[in-house]
Amino acid sequence: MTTQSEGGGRGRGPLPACILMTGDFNCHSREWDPSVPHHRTTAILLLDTAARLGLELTLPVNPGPTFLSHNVELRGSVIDLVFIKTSESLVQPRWLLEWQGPSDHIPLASKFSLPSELEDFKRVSIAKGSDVEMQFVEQLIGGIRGIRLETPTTIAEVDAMAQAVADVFSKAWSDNATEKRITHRSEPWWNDTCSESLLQYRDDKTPENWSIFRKATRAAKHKFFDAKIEEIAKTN
Amino acid sequence: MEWVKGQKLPPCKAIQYNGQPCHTMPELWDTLHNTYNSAADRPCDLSVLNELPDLPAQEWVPFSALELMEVLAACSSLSSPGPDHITWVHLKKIIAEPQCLNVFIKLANACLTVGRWPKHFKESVSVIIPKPGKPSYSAPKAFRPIALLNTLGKLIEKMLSNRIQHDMIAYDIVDPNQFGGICQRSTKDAGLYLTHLVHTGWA
Repeated sequence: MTTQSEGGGRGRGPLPACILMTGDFNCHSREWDPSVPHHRTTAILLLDTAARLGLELTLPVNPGPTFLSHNVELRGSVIDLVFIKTSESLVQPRWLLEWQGPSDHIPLASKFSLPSELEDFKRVSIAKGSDVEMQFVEQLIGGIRGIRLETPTTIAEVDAMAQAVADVFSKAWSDNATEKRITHRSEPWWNDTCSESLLQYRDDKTPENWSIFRKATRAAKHKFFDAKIEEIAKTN
Repeated sequence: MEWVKGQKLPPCKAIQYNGQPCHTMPELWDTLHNTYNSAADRPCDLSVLNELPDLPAQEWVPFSALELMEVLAACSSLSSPGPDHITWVHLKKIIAEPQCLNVFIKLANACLTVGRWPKHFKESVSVIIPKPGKPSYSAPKAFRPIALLNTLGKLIEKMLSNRIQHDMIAYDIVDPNQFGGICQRSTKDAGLYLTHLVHTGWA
């Protein structure tokens, strides 16, 4: 069983509400399988649990068994169920027979929309100690130098001067900052050398390039954690 | 503590507010805003200030370049910036240029002589930090908000604070129970004061 709320990690917001619960439940009931005569406690509990999570059972467009045992003497049954958020439950799942292969389960596909909070976490930043940061500081210095140096004597003049400084700051930031995507696989120690060597390895997949990539990541980790240790040792 | 392996995450649960879990950004905003700013509109009686005797006005010397540089040198390079993204490191590099330093000094002095605190200095970002060691993180009170103000405004505030430190104590303006923002007073003193009260209760 997979649920949406099991995901999440570093850099993620609050856990969102459950959207999808699906899998092989090994549970029989006449509610989803017409060939079963009963509707017992487990099935009732399953429906109750789903309802408490705000999910609703949706049956495939074409009814019929989704589990067909390799033993041809056993009859098929419906045990693969899809529970979707109540507001989305109008979209029915469908069979993907062409994807089945040698499996005894028929793959099911259903469409639903993800809430916007689940989209990738993006952030604009300037890397510390990078060339871009030097450019940024140079632009700041140049901009502030360009502000007319008069002693402000009225409220409007003070506001204007502060605004001029603020404009220089925001202009330099928007000119230099770049957008970064942060996922749960992002590592704080990752740097440009790692990306370059990884791309190189992906190009030809040679063992030499793999060892270059491993060396680059190891060096990056060393550098990052040495700096971290230094920082912790020196402050406080 | 392992350096490279993933840290065990605290037990995760959506933040609850009025018994309801918050799943969307607007809900979360309402929850945090209403919790942390619940005292925002509370009426405040300022008449106590009227009872304070007026002291004779003192002479004010404009801020000097040295003052600004000394204050800035004491600022941590690791501190997070405000909404303008200018860190103390950036400011330190900017004031290395005498012309830029002059702009900042002029602005700081003008703020005081004119009596105006520009909008840019009041802008802040609130960051919500989980308090360590809580058994559950489903209540908004398990988190602590910190406001990150723009650093240039903070720099001028720090210069001002340095100037009034001595007078503040000399004229007995601060409450003896206040420990924040005063030189030579820290949270340790607050803790010591509390334990002293407890001990005197035992005696």
